Amino acid sequence: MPRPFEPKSLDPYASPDLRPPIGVGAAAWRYTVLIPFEEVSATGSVTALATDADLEAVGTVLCRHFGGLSVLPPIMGWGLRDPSDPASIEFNKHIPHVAYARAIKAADAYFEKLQQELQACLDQGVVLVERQEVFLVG
Amino acid sequence: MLRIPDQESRQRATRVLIATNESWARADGNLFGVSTRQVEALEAEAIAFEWVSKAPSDA
Repeated sequence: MPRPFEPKSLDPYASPDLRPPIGVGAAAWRYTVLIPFEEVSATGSVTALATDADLEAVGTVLCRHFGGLSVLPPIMGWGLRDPSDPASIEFNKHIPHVAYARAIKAADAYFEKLQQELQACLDQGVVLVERQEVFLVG
Repeated sequence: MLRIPDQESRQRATRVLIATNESWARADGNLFGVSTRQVEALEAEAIAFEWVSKAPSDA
């Protein structure tokens, strides 16, 4: 059963050390969190997932812990809810949230917790979180 | 760059910004980096915001 996103669940995983090393020329990790926004089934029924309040809360907590983020245009794609059942096809819309972090293990722990919280509050099996290694030019 | 101090307004703004199909940035202090088209969308929905800075072309 979906429930509101709880940003306080991330506080134990946050630290000033997580903020990205900007302006010094250093490696960083760029996380992209694909937040489920809508599901459209093969019959055309629409299920809303993350609410405006959920998305605002995610944005606010990432700003608080990382200093800022980018929100990219929605990503749309088809997928099978049950890979063995072609009739379970659905159309999904996600809102990508992108944040830079210092390249340390604690950053992975933070985003794993964010993933778990989103999966729990949205009642979703998997919420995709990507990590890319980048070099921030100083 | 603009600021949306009110939480309920930020929630409404999120929906409006998603509908523009453009990216935007957020930063500490409830700051939003948005395009001219997104500003117009926020104004059309009467979402209250404060200017922090404008793009040079708008100044």
